Amino acid sequence: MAEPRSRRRGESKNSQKMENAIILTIKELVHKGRAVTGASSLFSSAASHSSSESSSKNPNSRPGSFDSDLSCKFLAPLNHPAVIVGTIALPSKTLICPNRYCFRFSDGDMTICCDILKFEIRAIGSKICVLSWNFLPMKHCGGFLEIIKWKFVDTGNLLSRCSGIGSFPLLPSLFPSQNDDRKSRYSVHGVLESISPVSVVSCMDGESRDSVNLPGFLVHVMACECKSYSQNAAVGCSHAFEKSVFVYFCGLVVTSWHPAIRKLVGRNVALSGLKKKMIYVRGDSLLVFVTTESSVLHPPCISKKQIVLKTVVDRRGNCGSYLGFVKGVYLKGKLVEMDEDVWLLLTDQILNRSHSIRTDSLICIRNVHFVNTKSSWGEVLILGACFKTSITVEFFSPFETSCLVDSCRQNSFSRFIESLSFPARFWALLVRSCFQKFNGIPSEKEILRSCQKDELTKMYAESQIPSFMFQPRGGIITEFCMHESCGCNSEAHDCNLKLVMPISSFVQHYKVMLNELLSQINKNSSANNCLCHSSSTWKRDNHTNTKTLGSDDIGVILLGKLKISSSGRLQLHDRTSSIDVLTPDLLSDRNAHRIFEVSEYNLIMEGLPESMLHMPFLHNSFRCRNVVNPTPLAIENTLTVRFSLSLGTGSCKHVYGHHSLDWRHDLNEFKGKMFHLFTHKFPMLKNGHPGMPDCTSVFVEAIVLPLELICSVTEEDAAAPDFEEHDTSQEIRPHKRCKTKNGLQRERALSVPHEISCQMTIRCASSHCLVSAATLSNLKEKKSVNMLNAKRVLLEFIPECSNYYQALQIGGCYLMKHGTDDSFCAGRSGISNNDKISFRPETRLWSVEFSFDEELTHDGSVDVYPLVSSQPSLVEKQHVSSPQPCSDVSLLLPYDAKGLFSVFLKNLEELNKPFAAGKNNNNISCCTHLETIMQAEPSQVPPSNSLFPEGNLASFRGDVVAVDAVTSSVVDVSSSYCINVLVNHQIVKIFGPLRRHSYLTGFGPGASATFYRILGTGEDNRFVLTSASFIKINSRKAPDGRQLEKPAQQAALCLPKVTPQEYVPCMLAGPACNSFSGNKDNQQIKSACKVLSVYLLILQTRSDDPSENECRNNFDIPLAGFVVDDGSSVYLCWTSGERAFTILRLHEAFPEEDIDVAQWTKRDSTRETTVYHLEQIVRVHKRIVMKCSGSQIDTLFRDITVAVTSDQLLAKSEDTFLKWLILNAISGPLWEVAASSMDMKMIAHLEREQCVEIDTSRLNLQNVWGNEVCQVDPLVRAWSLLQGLLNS
Amino acid sequence: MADSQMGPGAPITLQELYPSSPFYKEAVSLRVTGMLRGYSVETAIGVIEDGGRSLKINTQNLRDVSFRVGSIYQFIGELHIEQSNNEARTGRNVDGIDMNLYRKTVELLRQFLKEEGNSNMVE
Repeated sequence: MAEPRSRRRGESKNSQKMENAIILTIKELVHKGRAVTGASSLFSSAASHSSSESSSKNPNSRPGSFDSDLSCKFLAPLNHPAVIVGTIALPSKTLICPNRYCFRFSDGDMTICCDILKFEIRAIGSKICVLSWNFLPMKHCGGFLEIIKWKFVDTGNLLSRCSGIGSFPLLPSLFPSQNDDRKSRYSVHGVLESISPVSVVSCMDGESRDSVNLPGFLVHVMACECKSYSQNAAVGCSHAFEKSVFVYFCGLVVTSWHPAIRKLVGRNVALSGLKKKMIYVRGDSLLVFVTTESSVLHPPCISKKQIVLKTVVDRRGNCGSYLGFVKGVYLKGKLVEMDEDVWLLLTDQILNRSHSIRTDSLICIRNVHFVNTKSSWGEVLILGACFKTSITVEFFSPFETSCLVDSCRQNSFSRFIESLSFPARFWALLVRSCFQKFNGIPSEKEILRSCQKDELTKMYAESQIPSFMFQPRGGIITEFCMHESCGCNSEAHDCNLKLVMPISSFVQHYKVMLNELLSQINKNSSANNCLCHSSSTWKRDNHTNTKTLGSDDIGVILLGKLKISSSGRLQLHDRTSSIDVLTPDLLSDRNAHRIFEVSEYNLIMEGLPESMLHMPFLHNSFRCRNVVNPTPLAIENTLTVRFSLSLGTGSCKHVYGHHSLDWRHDLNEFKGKMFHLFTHKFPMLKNGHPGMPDCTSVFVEAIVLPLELICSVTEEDAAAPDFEEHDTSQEIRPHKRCKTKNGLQRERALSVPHEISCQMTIRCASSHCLVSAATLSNLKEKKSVNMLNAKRVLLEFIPECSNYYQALQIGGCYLMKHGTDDSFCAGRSGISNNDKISFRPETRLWSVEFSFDEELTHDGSVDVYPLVSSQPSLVEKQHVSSPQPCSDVSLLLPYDAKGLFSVFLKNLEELNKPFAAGKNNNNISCCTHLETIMQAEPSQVPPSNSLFPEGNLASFRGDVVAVDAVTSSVVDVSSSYCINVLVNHQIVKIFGPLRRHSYLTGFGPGASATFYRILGTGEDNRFVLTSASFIKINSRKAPDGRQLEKPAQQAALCLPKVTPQEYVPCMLAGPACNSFSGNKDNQQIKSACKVLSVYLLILQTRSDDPSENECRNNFDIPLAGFVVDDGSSVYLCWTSGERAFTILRLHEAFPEEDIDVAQWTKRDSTRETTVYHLEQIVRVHKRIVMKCSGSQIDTLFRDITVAVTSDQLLAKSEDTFLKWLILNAISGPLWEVAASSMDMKMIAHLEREQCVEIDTSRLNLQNVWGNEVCQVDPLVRAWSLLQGLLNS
Repeated sequence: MADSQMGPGAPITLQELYPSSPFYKEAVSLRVTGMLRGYSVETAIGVIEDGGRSLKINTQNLRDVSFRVGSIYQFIGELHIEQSNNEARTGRNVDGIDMNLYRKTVELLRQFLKEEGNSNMVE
């Protein structure tokens, strides 16, 4: 130590040898606060011995080792060579670094943390010249210096280099080392195997009395048993390093050697001046050498070891070392991504993490646990760091990535993590990353306020991780010294935990998979595949091509909040994305801040190409990288597949699964409270528009029942039962059969006493059920309830309450808490039919259903029918076996109250057309699914000539059999679909302008749906969707016919989006249907044909509603006529809307070379389709009619007239563009058109509707209406043809 | 030669060209399809291959066909057993053809023609 210090004087100018190089001070670097690299000085002429040693090892010149994140920025290089002169020092109290044991670098003025490559013990305290370096600003101590290349300032020192001789007293001593001290006469020489982190341990030092709480660390040395240590020991190769020896570095000053010793792991070292100590670990005695005041470290000679630039794995048994590049550092350094599916866990808080573990640095991890975990979602190699693990950085990252700073103190979460086995730790950390932003919103006062995201993770993980994945920790000394036996070694390797994933990564995974599948299909669309596909039915409607994957196969759990989007879809949201959800049993308490766990579900992929349906899906394993870093890859999306989840009953659990707060909260809501009952009739839509504007109120027609529910749970009841006990067996009802007196039942059918006892089951968010006694009572004292007193009112939902509006089910019954000033109550006596009652945001709603129990028959002579009160009135049910209630609250009423309720339900039924009560059905819920009765009567109205539809509105429920283009007759120009619904074993056809983008989640064949307000056309079993129509999906069947869920009456409620423009022709459906249905031989013909010419084309702007603009192009083609040739004949094919878009190839990329349209084309990916450019023109001219007026089909453009409705003249370029449009259509591919013939009546109708003169007689061609258009893959068509021929 | 009536090119696959085959006759008109394995500009002889069998094609009469080794071509021409080649009357590039489908179609066509012929004979 004295030697380098003596040299310090007079050498300060030595560094001036570095010509051109500017000497930077640390202050300058810190002051600038920029991340810079001074690695360019590597190439300066002043390359010293140390730089020549490994001159090619500049990290910046390292060949690209892996595809690091492209967002990574290289450290800014200085434009001139620059060196830094200063001294390296061991850590001390003067520099407080959160990572605790870092090297310090000081240039006299300022001190910062540093890390150093090619470290030599001699460098400590010596003045060095840093030739090549990276500087990274850090908040904590100004910055961090990464020393890549350095040399001693005093070259005279070089002589002793590599001699191996050199001894460094661990404690600076005034006296030369006293090796003659009897107690400290031992020395250890061997290979440094491992080093423990610094910990504060009470060290029983015999000499000093105040020996408690000294920091210290242990090293494990495989030593040679030779007794005498020679000065040349480090070079000696004849030694046999076989004896396992532990050395304890004890004391504040000695502990500061930790970073230096850490650098020596794996090398030969010798330590002298040690004393022996016997320690007791787990009852075993263990001999440990302890450092003393006179201990001396003899460092090894630096060997020229080969540095490898790739991943090197050296494994011995369970532990080994791993050399690799860091790909990402997550969760404050707890989780480090190494290579593909290799993850380093640095979870123990006590571990020393170096600042220089940055993305793209090469690190060597020694003595790390290798844990291979396999699970349903993939395979991962976990590198689990324990107390023996040491990490050294071999190359610094050339990128400007942030330094690792230990900022988190030990908390209950980190203690929890530490108590887990490695796979469970890894899983918990992945969960933690999913929770990342959930707590951002202050909400749900009782729970979330106290729950940090760590707590949230902990709570969730505790409920998920099985007990065997917890492992007891033995403390640092036990685990270090008794490593093999302490259990650190025996991890359970099977990880049955399901992966928790952010939604965006989840969806992205399947998008990537589908794209892969698609490219695979495209690649080998060879013989055999086609052969087996062609036999399958040929469907054009892509959106009906659905594939379902079960959660068991997927093995992924999703966490998120349930929200209803502005379009009326129920979605699961998380911090990354959202996905549509279909659930049978949604709680009305849609607290937007509750986090739900979705573990059992079916992933529905709608809109798959036909060819994909027959392919086995690829089972790509999930990438954990996408979990912690959910930035979706930009993939070329050639598919428009909609993803949605179909949840099973009870599969949507609140994350605080077993948290007592939750049900207690729910309980408090009900305890001793009074509720109003009301039922919801049809939505009253403002102006008949289904798309709800955000700024206006919406109205609902409701019926307020003349009954109130009083929950009779008392404080004592709530406290009494033991809720922690989870009784999974079916709950035995806490009441016994009461004596029955049947006599009075009949008389009581219409009026019952003013109170009815019932049993109330409350379903909590945590899937628990509370059972309680309650009373339904009539507030009007001593008067019998007359159900006919039910009042029809209008409920007004102000915009803030629109969430509630969305949640209401037609025909559903709801409870609303009684408040002193609520309008239900205040105006109770005064409520009359058609009153308006506004709904306030703070009001909470619960859905309620009724059931009747024969065992619960009340004694007619008593007014109040108590359920047996000696039993605990509140029983918690968990995992209620079927039938599971689907509403929030279910009321079990005495059987004889059914009479009353049947009156009530009948009453309700009259008001609410769609529902009919089952006759032999005990379980009458408000929305029964057991019986399906068509309420619509055949229209008695004689067909009228009015343009507006006439007919009765009907509502019914049925199974969707197929969604197809109109097959039997051309109902209307804009009716693009016909929904075939099986109602009561009869097929009902519903026509409508349901388009792809307005498709309901989960709708399609196999869905059981309820259709409300469907307009009867006057013809049997034919209905039309209008803008007031409403579709509710009740359940979905899997494609193989197996029903995913038992039909449950509540489901996600979505509004079909019907645009007014489409709606208008739809209104014509009635008369149109009447007038055309006479055409009975209206056979649909399918043919493959080519477009020869465009006869008529009408383009016009669509709605002015801005909400429409974003999702779709803003113009429409109400009518288009194409002259087509199917190879045998030529005919005139009329079509509209999306089909015309397809034939005109408007959605295809704009071929720039085809036409000089520089003024149209701008470099923008969204503007590359033809439709974009066309939209510009149509916007200007509002309506464009292009018409071929000549009689010749073949002569292009000769007789084409273009008429516009705007005042502006059609520009030359616009004219060219429109003509090019026709040319483009003509040069299109083969189309398969399903068409039906048209008669003159229909053409006349079209003429009237579109105000154009069609004049089809000129061409003398047959007119057909194109119902469906799809592109023909000639190969597929050929194979299917062949197949047909071979089969015939 | 002058009186020899030129027949329509019967579509066959190269596998069907073996000595005992009904198609293996001098000057029979055939339509053959295969991938061009080689082409000699000097002799204007190309070799097409399909299903492991190859056939020499004399393309000296063809003008507008450009030959690229590796592409699939279809030729109509007459078989000359002596030169063991097919003298093409016409030819075209049929890249993208599904040979499996083509083979099956040829079979089907032949079957159809046979049935048709039979029914004609009955009449």
